[in-house]
Amino acid sequence: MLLQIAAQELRYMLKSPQTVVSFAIFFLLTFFAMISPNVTIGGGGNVDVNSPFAIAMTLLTLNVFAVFVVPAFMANAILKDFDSKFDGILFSTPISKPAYLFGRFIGAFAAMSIALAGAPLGMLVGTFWPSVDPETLSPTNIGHYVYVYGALVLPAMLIISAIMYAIAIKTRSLMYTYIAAMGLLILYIVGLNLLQGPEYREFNALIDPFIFSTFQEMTRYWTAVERNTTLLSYEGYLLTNRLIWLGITALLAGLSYVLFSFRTAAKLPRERKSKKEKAAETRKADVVLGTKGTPVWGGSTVFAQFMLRTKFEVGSVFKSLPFLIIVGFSLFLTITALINRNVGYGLDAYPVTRLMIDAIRGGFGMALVVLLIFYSADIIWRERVAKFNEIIDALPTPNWVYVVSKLTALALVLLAVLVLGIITSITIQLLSGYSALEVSLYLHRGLLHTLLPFVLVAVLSAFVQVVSNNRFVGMMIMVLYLISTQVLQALGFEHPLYRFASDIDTPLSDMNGSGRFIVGDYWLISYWAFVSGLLLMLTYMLWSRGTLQPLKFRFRNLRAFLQPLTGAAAALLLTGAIGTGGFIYYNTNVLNEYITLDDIEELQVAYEREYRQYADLPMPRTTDVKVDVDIYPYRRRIEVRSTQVLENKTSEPISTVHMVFPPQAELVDVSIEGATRSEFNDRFNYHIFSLDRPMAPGEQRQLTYETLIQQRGFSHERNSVTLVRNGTFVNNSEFAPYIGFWPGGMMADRNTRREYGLEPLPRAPKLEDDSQYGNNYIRQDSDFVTFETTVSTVEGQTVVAPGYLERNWVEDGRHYFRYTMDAPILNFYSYLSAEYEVIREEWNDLLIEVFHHAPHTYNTGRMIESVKDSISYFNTAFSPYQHKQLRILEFPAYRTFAQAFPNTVPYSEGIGFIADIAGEDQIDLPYYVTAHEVAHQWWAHQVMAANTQGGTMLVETLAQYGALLVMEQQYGKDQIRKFLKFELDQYLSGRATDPEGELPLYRVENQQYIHYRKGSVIMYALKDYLGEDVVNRALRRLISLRAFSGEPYAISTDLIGILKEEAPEHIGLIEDFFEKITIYDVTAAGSTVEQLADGTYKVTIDAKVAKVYADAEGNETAAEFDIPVDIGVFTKNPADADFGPEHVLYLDKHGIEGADGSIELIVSTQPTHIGVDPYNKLIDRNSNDNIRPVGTVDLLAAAQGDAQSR
Amino acid sequence: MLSINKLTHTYPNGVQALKDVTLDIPKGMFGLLGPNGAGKSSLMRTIATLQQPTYGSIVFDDIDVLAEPDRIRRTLGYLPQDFGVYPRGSAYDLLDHLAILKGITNHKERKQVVEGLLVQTNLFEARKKKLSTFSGGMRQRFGIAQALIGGPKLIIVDEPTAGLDPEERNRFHNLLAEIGEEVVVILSTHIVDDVADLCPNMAILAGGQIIRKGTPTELIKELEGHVWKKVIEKSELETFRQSHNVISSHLTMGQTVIYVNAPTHPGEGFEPSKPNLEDVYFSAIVSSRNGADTADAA
Repeated sequence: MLLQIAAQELRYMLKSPQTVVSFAIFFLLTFFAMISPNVTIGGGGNVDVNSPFAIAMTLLTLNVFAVFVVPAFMANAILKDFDSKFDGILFSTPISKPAYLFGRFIGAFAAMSIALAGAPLGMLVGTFWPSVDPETLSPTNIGHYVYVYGALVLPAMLIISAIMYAIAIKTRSLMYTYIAAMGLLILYIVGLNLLQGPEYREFNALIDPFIFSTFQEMTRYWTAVERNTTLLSYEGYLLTNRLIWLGITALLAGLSYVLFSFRTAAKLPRERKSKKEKAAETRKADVVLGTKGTPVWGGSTVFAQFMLRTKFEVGSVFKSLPFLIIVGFSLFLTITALINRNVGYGLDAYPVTRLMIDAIRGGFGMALVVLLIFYSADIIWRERVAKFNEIIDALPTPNWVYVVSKLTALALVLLAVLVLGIITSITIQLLSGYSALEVSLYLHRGLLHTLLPFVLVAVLSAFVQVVSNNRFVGMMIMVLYLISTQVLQALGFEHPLYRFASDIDTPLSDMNGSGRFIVGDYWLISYWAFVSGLLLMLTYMLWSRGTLQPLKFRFRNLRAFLQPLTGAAAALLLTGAIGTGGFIYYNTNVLNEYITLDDIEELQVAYEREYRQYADLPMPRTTDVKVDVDIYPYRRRIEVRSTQVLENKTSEPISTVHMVFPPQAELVDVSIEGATRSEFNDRFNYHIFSLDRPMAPGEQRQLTYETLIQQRGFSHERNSVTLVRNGTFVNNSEFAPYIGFWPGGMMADRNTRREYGLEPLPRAPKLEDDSQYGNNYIRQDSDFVTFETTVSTVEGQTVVAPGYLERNWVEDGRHYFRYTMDAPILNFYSYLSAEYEVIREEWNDLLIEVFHHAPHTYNTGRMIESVKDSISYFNTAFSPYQHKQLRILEFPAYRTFAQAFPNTVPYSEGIGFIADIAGEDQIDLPYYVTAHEVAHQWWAHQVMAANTQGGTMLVETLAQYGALLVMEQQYGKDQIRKFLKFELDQYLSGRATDPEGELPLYRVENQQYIHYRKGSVIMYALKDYLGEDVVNRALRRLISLRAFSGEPYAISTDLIGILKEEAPEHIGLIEDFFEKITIYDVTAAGSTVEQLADGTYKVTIDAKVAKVYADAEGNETAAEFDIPVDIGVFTKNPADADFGPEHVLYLDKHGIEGADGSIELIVSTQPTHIGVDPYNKLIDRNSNDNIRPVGTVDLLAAAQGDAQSR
Repeated sequence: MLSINKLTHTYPNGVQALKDVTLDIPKGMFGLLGPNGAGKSSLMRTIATLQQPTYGSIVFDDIDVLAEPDRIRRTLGYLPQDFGVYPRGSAYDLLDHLAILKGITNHKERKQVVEGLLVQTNLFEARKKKLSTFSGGMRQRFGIAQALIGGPKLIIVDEPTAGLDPEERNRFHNLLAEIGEEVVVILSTHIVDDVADLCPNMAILAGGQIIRKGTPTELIKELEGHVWKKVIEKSELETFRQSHNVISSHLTMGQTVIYVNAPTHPGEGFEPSKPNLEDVYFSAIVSSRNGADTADAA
């Protein structure tokens, strides 16, 4: 019986559209995710796109979205009998309740499983698509898909289905079931966001019904090898999680069973009458019969009809289920984005309006377009679905009234959703105590500018529906459109004039508002609005009235264009489209060169093929730089005139000088003293000068050039973010020449190079390549240079460059600044021009300044503190600071980083300036970033690394070390523990996704997860094992050996050699830390506590230790654990926020023999926690098992000990 | 009033729904009789501007229906064969809505029109009820109410009495008869009695073609003396079908009665029968079917 019902339900559902459509959507989603080079879920780097890890990641991600599908199956299974009033017949048959309830459930779940199977199938089929790079594929293994789908996805869906089924039974309403699904999803995502710190990971892993967090947690540090081969098995978190949810599901099943009854009183429709209606009621006797009515034909009638239809459509929409779904869905996406303003290290940004608007726009995005496509079909087909179309269509109402009113309703729906989003944003701002509301920004960027593109898509969708004459065909065409918006650009079709509703990036910044970016975008919106106007006319002319007829019949209606008014309107729209289109073309193709990413790649390849042959020619180097720069922020133009001194530092005469100007720079003039230009290639801005008389070794020549960079109008992509009205930030690599063949002009990406048949380019020259010891890794055409500059900008703005302000004056309405540098600097300088507020502080002969955007005063105090603490610490620990001032300069959030130039630190508004560090135990991000950048004044600007592997270890790792020391002084060891946990986590996660494989720290090839993240952990542990004095002494020796010198530059083995000399007893450790990829595994396995007769406590700690060496892909070899490790005894969990030094009973290093060790300690107070490497100083893939509470058993033992001792 | 000229329609799948239909329809009720699938609805829809024909013309008064659909829609009342309603809204609300779409913008006047029609169709008591809860008869009456909004000069009702009980059907006929004097009313149906009761003019449509047209009286007269009946055994039916031009067969009290169309006495046991409209209809259908068969055979 049960199985029969189940089978019948399955057959019924397989024929229904929700199964077909869901299958198609899930299939297409994963299929396109697989074949699109822009989308990678789970794969990437050495992890294959069809690895078990990538399969699980993709399918579990979709799992969350499948919640939208569940009610369609579950509610339908039980509600269709009530809706079709078949319940009377059905429930009088001798069907048993369990057979009915569970049979229907099983049938519906089976149908849903088939629909969702589209996802793994789409992925699988996608892997056979020719565009998928075979290098990124593992051999096909059907078993992986089957396991992930059957063992991970379906159980999760079963749980969600049971919940939805229970709700459908209880509420007997599809709408409420949908709302419940939405609620569940909101709860889930909001929960994930609230509980996103590392401390919640275990909890999340245990309770996540979708097991997404569980999967993430269990695979977090899997190496590429593991990700490519290992399936997640039922153990640990996964097993516990599934058992918990199995219990809940069983409970719900029981509950559904109890709640459901065959005998339910039929609900009588309630008739409600308002008082107003009653008052206006006519009695039947008073009705005047025979009034025919006098129809009025004309503009006013049509207008009245339009208003009526619009009101009707809007009313229908607002009361309908899909609308509630759209609102719920977008609200949930928006809230998610709104509360997740993470700027790093678990820190949120202040809720500035710019971020709120980004969140609202992000919350819409593709997901809402999907809903728009489905919903517009719903609205367009409303009359036909209700079978009311023949009546409506025979009425004397013009087509356009129907079409335009439907689209207006759609637009109003979107508007309502946006307004809701804005209200939510403002509420969040007010709740967080942020009161500087920018209503006009909300109205412009949040409402108008966000709404318009969606309206355009709605018009397209209506057009497609009408032309295709078939709801599902129409939707599928729109899905294709949607996919095209994601892939056309990647396929090289970048021009916005043929991509419907295309846009130009319009990033927001507090400093520069919408900038000039928005102008180009509005031109595009106008263009597409004209096109959409024409589409709209076509839509209502081709509108099917009555019988659906093929297009060729409906084409007759196009003769309406011959009518003067219609024809004039069409001509106007066409003129508008041609006019705006022409202007856009003029901007993108005439004022600017239309270059696609493919063109850029080809240029790079051609450049390499033509000029790489000159890479090793001896070249003179720049030794002196004099630059005059004029910045025109409003014209987005910078003019540069410069004289540089070139010196032959080689030992042989040089007869030709090669030179490359940056691609975006326009060259006005260039000349070299005593030389003629023998070759000039315009495409690459490549020049070859023949010297009339060769340059003898040591000889100097003058190079003079004039360039300008500017943004003319707007281009279709890659509009300049350096040339802006308020917040210009430009450095010399954008306008100054590179002497010799510029290696940065070559394509670096390994996969793209393979496509062009080029050998891979090493990320950095080998550590042993001594030809590079005389080159620094920033640029190889110069060493330390003398520098002076005169720079001007518009009045009202301040412009800052490295050096000391010698004088400033106003001339012809422009503000001039002259900066000179007192000591040689790297050939690396920048200019920032903006309307700045300045905070100044003079401290110990040092001038500290923060140039910032007026409202961004939140953290400027922290930054100044950090500069002081850093310089004062580094002065003694490393060497004296080489400059007499340090300036921090804010720049727009188009880019989010901070960068250290000589005595100058440009610092994005997007990071430290708006970080909210009000929380007690929060990591002080602005303080840390500032300390890091100040440390670069030593590690980059005093000691520069050679252009080899390991270069960034001396620059970035040592800057991290400096910042750690300063932070430790200010915030104590416990904050450092928290910080290091983030660093360790990012290092371990980064290992898996490295495109070319991991390297030991001393061979790092500009890999950020190594030189920053691993570097922090290693340096802190090094300091801990060797002692701060020893490490700092070694660093001081490195400075005295290599500071301000390029002959040679420092290499990583310089430092390692010094360290080994300073700490010969730790040579093994130094090698493990720097020269190998070493992974430790330390576990606090157990403990006992016993109170002794004298009132003290004997603590026994079981420690498990292990060490492995890993290779580039993560293959591991076991090694002997040979270092002492921290053993700690505490009266509070060191992971707690308010943990402090007073809670430490004991902390010292102990050597451990073999893999297990037992340590006995006597402490004075009863402990609560013990730890083995409790502060996570070592690189440990499971850093959560290092601390262990003294469990109840242990306490019992303590109590017994207590009793015995009496 | 309404003249249809050489109307031809072929569906994209090749099915010819209308073949060279030419009709002149005067004022008053006009019955369009035909079996299911004869092309009645195609013809009705085409006149109601809901379908573009492949070829032909339709003129009402001076309005070219195909070229100026919006003009004819202003004087058109259409009750489709099968229609639904919006899930929300009462009868009053929807009539009011449709009245605006029919150009009655004056609020007071519209109220009178709508209430008048509700009374006329006996729906006044139910005017506040949701349409989706209406019974079949009520819904059909609502259909005629909406078709009458604005006093149309051309009214098209497609299979209006299908599924109505006898009482509802009577009421419906009375309603149609009331309005059918001043304007053109085209009533399409497969029920002969509907036409016999109401229509002074009629046409029979089969296989997309007009096979008879005229007044019912004329058509019956043409058949006088040609209809014969005989009581036979049920088992003999096939034999008679082969040998005679059987236009219909009835069961009367357990016996089979066949009617045969023949110019002379068709044989033993046959007795003359007075023709009625049903005989006209059936003989027309049978002869058109035979004609088609012959054509096929040729």
